[in-house]
Amino acid sequence: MPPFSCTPLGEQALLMQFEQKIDAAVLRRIMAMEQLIQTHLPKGIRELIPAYASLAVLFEDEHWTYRKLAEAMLDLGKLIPEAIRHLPKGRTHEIPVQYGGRNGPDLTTVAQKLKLTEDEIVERHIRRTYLVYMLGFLPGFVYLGKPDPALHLPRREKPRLKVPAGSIAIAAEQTGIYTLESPGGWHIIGRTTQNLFNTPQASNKKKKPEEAENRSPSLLRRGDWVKFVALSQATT
Amino acid sequence: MILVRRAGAFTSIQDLGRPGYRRYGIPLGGALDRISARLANRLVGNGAHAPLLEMTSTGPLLEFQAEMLIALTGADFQAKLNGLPVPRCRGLLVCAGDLLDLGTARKGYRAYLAVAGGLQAQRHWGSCSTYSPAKWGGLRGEALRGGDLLQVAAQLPLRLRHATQVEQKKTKHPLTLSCLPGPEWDSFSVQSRMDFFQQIFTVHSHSNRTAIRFREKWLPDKKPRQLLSSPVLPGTLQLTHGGELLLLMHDGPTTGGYPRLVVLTEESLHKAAQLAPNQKVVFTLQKQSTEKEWLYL
Repeated sequence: MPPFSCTPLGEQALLMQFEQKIDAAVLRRIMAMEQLIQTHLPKGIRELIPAYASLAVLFEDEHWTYRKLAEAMLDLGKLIPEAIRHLPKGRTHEIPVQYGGRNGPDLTTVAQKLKLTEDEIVERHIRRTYLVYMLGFLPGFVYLGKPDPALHLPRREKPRLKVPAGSIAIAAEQTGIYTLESPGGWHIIGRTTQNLFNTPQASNKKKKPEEAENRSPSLLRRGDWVKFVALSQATT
Repeated sequence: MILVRRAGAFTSIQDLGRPGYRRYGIPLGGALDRISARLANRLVGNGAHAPLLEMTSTGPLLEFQAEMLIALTGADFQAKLNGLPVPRCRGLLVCAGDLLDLGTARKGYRAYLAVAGGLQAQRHWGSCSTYSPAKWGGLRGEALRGGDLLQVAAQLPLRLRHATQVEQKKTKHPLTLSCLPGPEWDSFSVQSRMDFFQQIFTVHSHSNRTAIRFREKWLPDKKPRQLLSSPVLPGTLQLTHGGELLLLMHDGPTTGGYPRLVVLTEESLHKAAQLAPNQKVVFTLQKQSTEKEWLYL
């Protein structure tokens, strides 16, 4: 049996739902399935939108009906165990972070809420190596898992309208990076100055779609690993 | 060139968006009422993706500085050219010095203005669509401002065309939006689901290109659970923890953790693009989707 179920997401998309948990094995199954779709069914597939434990397949209705596509997916899903073996090994990135102060305005309140010192929070945050699970929500937001259970806490009650680019945040069993300035409801504990999301210079020229497709704007890709390195506090 | 003498409530350059990048969190974007946008471009001889103006609620005042072919589609803004009413859905030749005053939306909410050759705009991720949160596309990545100058991207041979005006019927109250069950639909009780289709929802004035909000809450008898961040599309209706409904539009997020009640059909999504504040809507299941067998394989 393939490790997912299919359901429609509107008239022109099929949603594959895997085991609903944040888990490296689930991520690899989804990545393998994407590879399989790109290799075996490139026709009539517009776009794939992967998330933690699901994959949306946007299809052209001239080529596919939902039903036919679901059958094709369930068939293709049988090849997942084999495809997983050919997945590239993720790269590991070291990201320098300044924790606390104006770079991590929520560190103090997070420490109070979790009954830990600020140093202990930082210590626990840098101790782990995180897996890049997905990019989504807004351009460049990177979802990483999983932090030390001692760092789990719900989102901020009031989301911020503006979170600066490079902010490192925690919420629930996740840690994330706002690689572009955006609104956000997670707790900001630090910030990196490393450029993680690259928007090409605006142009007035059209580019061939294939040319654009193959370039990831994000330094961090799904399946990569991230290690945070604490920088000593800059004097302000 | 076109001088923007007055910008209007929210006038922005759009095309058909930037598909293919949602895996990086980059939304589709582009014209919300794609049927009207495509029609406007076709009337002036442009390709379907040519950048054009999307005007919302209150339109701009534009001064043409050269002869050009334009077309106006979408909501009826009671536009006036040099003080005279302008026909919609046909190519119009305008001259240097002509003034086009877009007025205010009477029926519908968004109008589209195409210029033969397309508007010149900055291109990000293959599209000129203005996406203001990241300052992509359009002019400066933002809505137009008074004093802006719009350039035409290319010269096209001018050919007058017209389309048969599909006049929007007098807006029905409430408007019916047809939808398919969303992935979390079955997690609500039968009673709650029936109530949902009977309730009338009023479009909130805090609606924009990201999402259409509604004044009424919908409180199911069971509290929905939080999901792992999962894919969402334009037309997805999310239920927030406070019972607020969010109908996601083209500038909306690519993934979200709220339950996805229903997803609008493509046809209803275009209709939703023309929803003005205070308009009343009801949701109904698309007939086909009542067949359980079709739904879950």
